[in-house]
Amino acid sequence: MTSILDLGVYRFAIEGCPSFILPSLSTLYDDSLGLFPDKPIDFHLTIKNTSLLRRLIKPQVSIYFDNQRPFHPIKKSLLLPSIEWGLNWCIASFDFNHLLIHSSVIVKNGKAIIFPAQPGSGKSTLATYLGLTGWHVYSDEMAIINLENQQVRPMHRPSSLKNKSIEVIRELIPDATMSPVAVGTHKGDIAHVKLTTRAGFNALCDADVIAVVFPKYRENQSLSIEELSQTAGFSRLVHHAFNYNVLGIDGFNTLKSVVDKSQFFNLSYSSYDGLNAFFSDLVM
Amino acid sequence: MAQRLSQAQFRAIFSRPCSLTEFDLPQWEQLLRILRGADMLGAFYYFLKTNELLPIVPDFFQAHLHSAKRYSDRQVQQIKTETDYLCQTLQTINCQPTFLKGAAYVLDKTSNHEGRVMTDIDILVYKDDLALVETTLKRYGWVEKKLDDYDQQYYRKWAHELPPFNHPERGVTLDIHHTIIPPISGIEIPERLLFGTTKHTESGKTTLSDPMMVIHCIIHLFYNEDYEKSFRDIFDIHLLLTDYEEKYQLTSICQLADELGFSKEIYYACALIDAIFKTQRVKNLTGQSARYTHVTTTNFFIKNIILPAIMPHHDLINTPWSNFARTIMFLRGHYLKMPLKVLVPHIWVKFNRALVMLVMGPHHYEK
Repeated sequence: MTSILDLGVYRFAIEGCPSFILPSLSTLYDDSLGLFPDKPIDFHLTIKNTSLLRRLIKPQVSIYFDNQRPFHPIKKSLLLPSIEWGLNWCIASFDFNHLLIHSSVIVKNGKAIIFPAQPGSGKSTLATYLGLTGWHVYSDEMAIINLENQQVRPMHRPSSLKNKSIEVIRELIPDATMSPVAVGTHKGDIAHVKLTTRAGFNALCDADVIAVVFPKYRENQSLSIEELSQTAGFSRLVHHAFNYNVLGIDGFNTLKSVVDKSQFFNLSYSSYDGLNAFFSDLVM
Repeated sequence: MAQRLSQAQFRAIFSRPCSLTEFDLPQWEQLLRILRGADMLGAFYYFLKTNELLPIVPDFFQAHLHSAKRYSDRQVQQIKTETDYLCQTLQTINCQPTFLKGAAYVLDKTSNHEGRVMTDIDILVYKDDLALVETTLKRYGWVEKKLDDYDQQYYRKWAHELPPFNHPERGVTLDIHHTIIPPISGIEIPERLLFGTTKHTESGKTTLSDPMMVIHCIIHLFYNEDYEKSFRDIFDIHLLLTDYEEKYQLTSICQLADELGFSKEIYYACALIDAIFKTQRVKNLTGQSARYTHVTTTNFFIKNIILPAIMPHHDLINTPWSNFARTIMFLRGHYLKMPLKVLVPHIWVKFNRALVMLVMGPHHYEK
């Protein structure tokens, strides 16, 4: 069966979506699942079994995007994280209408702070924590910046947590709505967290980026915040903007506008104490 | 379920672009997927622009077109820089590469270069220069792309081509050729016809002569076994011929094709293009190519096998017949390229692998 995911900016259809995954999608995506069935779809993912034999023994599935298969086949039970990666892959491979920065985005008072970082730096966990304690998370994975108004756009999606982060969030926010954990993907154990309802998402608007924070989670590290120059910030941002090299002058102008409006910080932390207050000050 | 776009409807877009005005949203959505699968979205942007049809395109489709256009425009820019680098590198050994296919279209600014995307740069050098080119490229940071053992052996032993090179810093792939048809096919193109007639572009780079460029594109399509993305090739040939006809008569291409032994391929291409784009090219063929006009079997083969085989390969538009036709073209492509003493063992290896993949899943040989 085909399930529609309406993320706001993009509309996806997942064909051949196995029924066991629907409850998770329905929990995480809320009313965005199956929304506006008559509107056109931007990207279709198709889930197929890999072979007759593998349907019976150690069932494997592959995700296809039209004729392409971007990832290796996976155990059927690990499908949910792969769908999430599939969505990311489509956006990153085909959207050159926005500047995409590998980054989480949190928003309050209509002002956005972005957390550009490599995988494993804790940006998703940080965004998830903030998303469950009063902030709007526009994405835990990529900042989608409009080339016309240089503002970051919201996307309705759950966040994804890896390995230890899953326990961290469970302990801090026991009533967080979490998907079952997919154990043993190539990136480790993965769980997804619902951060907002569709109705909550509908109230969000494009926002100006006013601060860029490069987070680094380190065990037993006391909180350290170091301000960076805009020049240093610019070159770090370029590094995380994965379609910057394709966008040419529009990419440069957009990034420059973001930099002009932003303060830049390096952040090392091992606990969330005090972070909320610091970020709240930035968006006052 | 909305009405599926048929192959005939898809083809009609290219002969009667205004048929798009009758498309409903589900059909536009299908078209988006088919064109994206065929790597033709950027080219389609320029096709619509030429036909002044961009305003009728629905918003969601418009966004994807602009995205694809931006990507291909950027690639055009990149090709200019990369070909500069390559020329500088090979200048050190006094080798002036002749650019082929996508890179040549960009350098020569042919009509089909706009919106066209490519995955590698192809160059042609003298066979005697191959070894020196290989070592020079390696000295300048290029590395051989890893292929699986069987394919690597095949390349070296039978294709007599260097495996593709890759520049890890700049993310470019380079294919190096010493002729424009795989030597294993037994067809040799005299060096004087390849290198003796090359031309220089505005930026001082070398490409094949105009007629040779068209013939190469045609050879590339018909000495091939993979027809999944061939619609783009036929679109290329159509636009290259359109450019060509502005300056010259088709006769000069026919003469050259006769000399090289590709008269039949020229006929195939023109007959297909007439069928898709509703042009009148077959009528203007001369020499050997023209003789196929009345050969029933040839025309039957074109209409019933090649034409369905070159439709974009996509679940939305495939029919059992077009899949069958593509299989025939697959076998034909292998047969043309290889003498039987090579083909039989090759098919045996590939067949065994296919069998294993059928049982174990299609990804068994992936590392």
